[in-house]
Amino acid sequence: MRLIVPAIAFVLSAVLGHYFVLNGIPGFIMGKAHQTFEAEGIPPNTWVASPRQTPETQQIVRPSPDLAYAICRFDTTTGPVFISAPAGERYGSLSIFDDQTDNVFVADLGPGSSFTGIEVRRPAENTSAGALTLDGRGIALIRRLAPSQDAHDRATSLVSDAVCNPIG
Amino acid sequence: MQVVIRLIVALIFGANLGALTALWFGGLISGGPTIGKAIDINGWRSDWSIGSKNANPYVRARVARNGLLAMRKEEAVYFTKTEDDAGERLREACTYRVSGDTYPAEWWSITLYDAQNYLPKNDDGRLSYDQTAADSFYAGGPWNFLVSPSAPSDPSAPWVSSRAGGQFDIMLRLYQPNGDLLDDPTTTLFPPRVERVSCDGETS
Repeated sequence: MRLIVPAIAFVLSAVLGHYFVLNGIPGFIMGKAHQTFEAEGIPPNTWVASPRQTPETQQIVRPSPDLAYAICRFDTTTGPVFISAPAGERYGSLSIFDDQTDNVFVADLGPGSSFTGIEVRRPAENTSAGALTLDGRGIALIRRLAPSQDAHDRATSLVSDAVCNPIG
Repeated sequence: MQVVIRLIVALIFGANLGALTALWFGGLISGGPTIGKAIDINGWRSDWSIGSKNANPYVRARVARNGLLAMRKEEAVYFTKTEDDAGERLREACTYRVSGDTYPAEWWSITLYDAQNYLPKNDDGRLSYDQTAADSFYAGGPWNFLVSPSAPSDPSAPWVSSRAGGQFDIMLRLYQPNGDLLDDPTTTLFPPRVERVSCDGETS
């Protein structure tokens, strides 16, 4: 009898510890990624092209050396954000990730893409038809096919035409 | 007093056990099991819930640790292989021949990563092989390349460097996969073969 209460406490604390740690992993790692990008000098609401991915330049796990990346950090708690990027000459995509690492939006940036941009708003502010709901910090990522240095240079040149601006 | 002490000890040990098992099942401690609707085609493993809201917390934790910013399956699917076709762990000491053909997707690439999920720290400039290179070298037909810690004797032979890779894996990325692949991957995808050629100078 005297061991029943500690046994129940053991099981309950194990279950709760498992639940909270497991569900805290994505947010913790995404937070570390934000810190890394900030330390690398990537300001919020600005598209920044990454150098070609090599063992020396890689910043996050499993980068693809065949792609040209550009990244924008944003936070909807300071207001809605408008995100867009031009189409390219080959395969490309613009994807948005929430603070739990979920890929909540993808747009095709390949030749002939009709993508004109997306508004990202907090749930309470999402009154705009077609706007994406995202509460808090997010990461927008452009990937473009760039298996050569020339292709990487051409993909990088498109970053200046991409938008990641607060609205209003 | 003893009851309180037992209770505190139980809470501490329980919480620590729960946290450790979460880290293990979530892939932050190596060797943990994979939980989810995993796809396994000849040792090439994937999970269609990667990147999606439908991912269970174990898959989401593993993706955060091993493939942060991975896209959902409609845009890209990811297959990882850690063993050769004979079931032996891929390792730097061996040379492998990877061969394949076309895939039901817009574009594909195969990249080598070390056990820490990073590109191996070598300066060989041979980190991956992709459809563009295969189309160029093999004119769109069946292709193959070597994975080895040093350049092959034939300087024109396609290869990917495993130097400084230790125990590594290779990842097949299929961008904009077609609907048939997403609906029925096990009968639609014929993934690359990974044949061990030699280890430490001995031909297998």
